[in-house]
Amino acid sequence: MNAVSSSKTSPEDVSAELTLLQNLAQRVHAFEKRQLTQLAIAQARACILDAIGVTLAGYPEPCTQILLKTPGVATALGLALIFGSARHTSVLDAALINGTASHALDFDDFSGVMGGHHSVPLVSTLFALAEERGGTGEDLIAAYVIGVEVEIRLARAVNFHHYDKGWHPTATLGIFGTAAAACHFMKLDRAQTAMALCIAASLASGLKANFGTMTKPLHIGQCCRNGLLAALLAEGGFDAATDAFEHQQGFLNVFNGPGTFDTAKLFENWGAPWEIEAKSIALKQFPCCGSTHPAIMMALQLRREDKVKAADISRIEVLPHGRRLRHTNTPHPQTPLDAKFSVQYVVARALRYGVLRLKDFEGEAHLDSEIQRLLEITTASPHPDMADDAEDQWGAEVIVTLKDGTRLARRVDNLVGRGGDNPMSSSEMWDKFNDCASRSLPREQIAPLFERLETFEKVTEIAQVVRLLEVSELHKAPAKKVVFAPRGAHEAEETTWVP
Amino acid sequence: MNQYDVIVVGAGNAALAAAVSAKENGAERVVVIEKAPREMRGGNTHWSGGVLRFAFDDPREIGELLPDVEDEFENFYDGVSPYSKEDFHGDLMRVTSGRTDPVLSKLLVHNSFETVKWMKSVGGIKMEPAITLSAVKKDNVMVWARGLVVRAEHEGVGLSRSWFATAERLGIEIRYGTAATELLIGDDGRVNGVKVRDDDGMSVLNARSVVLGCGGFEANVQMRTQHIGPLVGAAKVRGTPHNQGDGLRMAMNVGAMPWGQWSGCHATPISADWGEFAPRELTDRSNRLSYVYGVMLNRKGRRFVDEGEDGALFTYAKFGRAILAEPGAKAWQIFDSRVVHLLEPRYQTSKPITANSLEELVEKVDFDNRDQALKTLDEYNAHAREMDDGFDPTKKDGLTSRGLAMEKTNWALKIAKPPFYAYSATGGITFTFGGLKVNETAQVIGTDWRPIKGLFCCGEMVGGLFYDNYPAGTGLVSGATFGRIAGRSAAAAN
Repeated sequence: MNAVSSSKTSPEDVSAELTLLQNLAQRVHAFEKRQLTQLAIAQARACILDAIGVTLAGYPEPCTQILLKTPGVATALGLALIFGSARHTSVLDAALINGTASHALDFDDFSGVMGGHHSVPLVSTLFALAEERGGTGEDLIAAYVIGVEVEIRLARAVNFHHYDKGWHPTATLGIFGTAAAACHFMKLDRAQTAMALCIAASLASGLKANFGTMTKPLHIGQCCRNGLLAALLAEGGFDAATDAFEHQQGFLNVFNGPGTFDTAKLFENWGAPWEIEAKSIALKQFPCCGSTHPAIMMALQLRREDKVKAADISRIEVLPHGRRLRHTNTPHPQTPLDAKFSVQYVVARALRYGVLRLKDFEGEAHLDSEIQRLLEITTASPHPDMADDAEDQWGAEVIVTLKDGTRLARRVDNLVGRGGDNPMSSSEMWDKFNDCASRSLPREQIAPLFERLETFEKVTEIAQVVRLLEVSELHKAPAKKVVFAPRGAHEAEETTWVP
Repeated sequence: MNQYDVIVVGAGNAALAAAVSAKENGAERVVVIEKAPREMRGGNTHWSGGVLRFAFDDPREIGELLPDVEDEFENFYDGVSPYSKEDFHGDLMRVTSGRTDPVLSKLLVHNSFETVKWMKSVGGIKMEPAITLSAVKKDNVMVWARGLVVRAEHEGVGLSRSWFATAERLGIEIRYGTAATELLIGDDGRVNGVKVRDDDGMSVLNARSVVLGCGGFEANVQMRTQHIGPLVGAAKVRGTPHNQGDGLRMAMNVGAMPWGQWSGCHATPISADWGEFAPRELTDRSNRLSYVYGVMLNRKGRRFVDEGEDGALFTYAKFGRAILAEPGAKAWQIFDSRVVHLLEPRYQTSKPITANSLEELVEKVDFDNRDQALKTLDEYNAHAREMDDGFDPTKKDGLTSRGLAMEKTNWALKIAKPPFYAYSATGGITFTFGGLKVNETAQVIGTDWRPIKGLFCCGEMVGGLFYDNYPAGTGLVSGATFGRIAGRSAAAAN
């Protein structure tokens, strides 16, 4: 590359001569840490922290475990950790496993514009690279931000035709973000970055037909691995067609089809603002179907602000927007999966316990007798004031009638995840992270990990943070029920614990 | 804008207790001056185990702190023995060889339970049973240690987090990256502000009173060497790199009287895997105290202590210093696979060097004399004992080696079954005991034996409580007790 001319020429001046992916690569390459705004850093930090949490939650899931046991997977030697274990492997395999785990529960953040999840294609890949090659929190955040930019910019150009046609944008668009972020982190030059994106175009995959199965999170593992592979190949001098995106038989025409995309949107108002700064970037607060979240929030508000106690309730009316109710209208959930798609169940839990945790969707939690009682007095129907074709489609109202006849209600017109003007608070972030991380990590590692991730942009060596994601096998004590000695049976001695 | 009612210097447990207490007691404008940047905030509290020692007569009284504990543990209260004020004071007297300040120690003991309840109710500190570290397993049941039943949820990290959340909720201003460099004193003899240094340079903050809660001098190599000696001068720092004795020096510059054991500190064997300061994310998990189940070799490949002389609780302090006296201030703790599961969970924070033979292990470790190291291990094994001879990790088992120049007098099991493990160790300092003289209102006393108007202190800076050692779990309760008093006094001084 020609460093002298690149410093004098802005991307716009030469864009006409470049293919789309070359133009994109040039912008990725030109992005520098000093362009990170405070808002971009704060948003990226929250999303990365959340992604680490959901990855730890996804580690014990069958999709992750079956993948790990598959012959030849994660057997390569390397420095990259499989989060929540003591196992290290190659960056490619770590990206595959951690990437799959990160989406296993569908509990990760999302972008409405993308029609998908913007963080999971990036975080597993970047952490694996950082472990192998070293790097600071700020380096990783910069790579993450430009990765999000690429994903969502592409989405602006191809959605929602792309989504409606049946592609899984988190994977099919995410892979370009993965490759771009990896190239940025590895400091590849413009030509290499463009090559990586062009290779990635041929590795994109993921069909919505497989939603609801283990193959959906596998899309993300593959996206993380293949996007990284594209970057590593490009680094080594691999080639691909520079017009792989707009070619007659390239990504746009094959995945979308002629006339179903608008490439002008790729670069329009580039960086003003950055996509990560958008209000449509949102976190998922509760481990159940997103369509139930507006109703859950209303139930929690009733409990917190009006001090509603479950025992005093004689009737619960749940009135979500019709489009939110159709797939969540499950008055009597029979399985944990049913419970995730039961607006009645989650509202009852929110009113009774004030929290929703992963364990509420495991085992026989849905048969909890107090919840069963509340389900008997719960009804759900589409909100009469919220039209199917209204602009806001994520509203809900919850009305509670107390035994003394008092009627209390809370209503929200549109609540899509937590972000924008309604971000999760630090303590809400902690509650979710702690719940997620507890599935894989020893308790004493969780709070220090959260604390480090909360100021991730100041981390000087990411490998240090990753140590807190490792679970030592050497000292794993079998969990046993604790039985205390009766008082007086033993003299209480001074502790043997040393501060 | 730089005029306050109360300035609190420091942002650990004691300082934030003082800030919250000042606010609670009517001070409107309270500012916390934290020298560390946001990502390093919270002083030594972040690194602590979060354990809280306090006196109680009836175990059921603890229920106020742990409302749901019986849901989790059925016979929880049966297992807890009462811990009277006399018990607590007796323990303080015992470990300090009777030298603990008679007035301050009584104040601490008598207020201890009230303080912890206040930490929960006003401070918003969530608590949990301290089961993983305080309960000891005997005959298949857990026995609680004396007086140590409760800890802050998520240990020091959780404790620190909760204090900051509460301070912010109460509208207390927190200035990160702001170092107090000097106390300002008026012609009336009253401390009325501090000079501070931050990214923008020097400035002055004024207030009617100042609370110093900014820790001891454990991170200051010059002061460690000067006051404690060259051995501890060479120690690694387990906690915050910011406790440099600033508050002590500032106070003495305006006439405060040093008090307590300035030559004393809490120090223990810790991992030598890190630099001068243990990484923040490892919190208190730097300790390496399970040497009783193996042997310790210096870089010359020789043993230098009787590792099994007594339980680690009774030997860690002198062994920490003993390691510092060895070449390179470093030792290796060597274990075999039969005992590795007995190591304290805190060992997880290091990756041991592992090998399938002692020869291989010795090759991998950076001994200066590998032949000697192997010879030492072979000699040890020739005189050490078998599992069947009565090895019992739960008590002093009397299983002594037979015929070594320096015997290992308990747990002298052969290091025989591969794989073998080597963990590094050096000496690490936790905190210093030397402080300032304060009265019962936490007001600082001058070398003229007169109280200094407007100046209060708390936490590690309070001199005279600890000599030679301290009972685990006392530091945080002392910090919160004197912090609470200091905040109240500072508010009243307005």
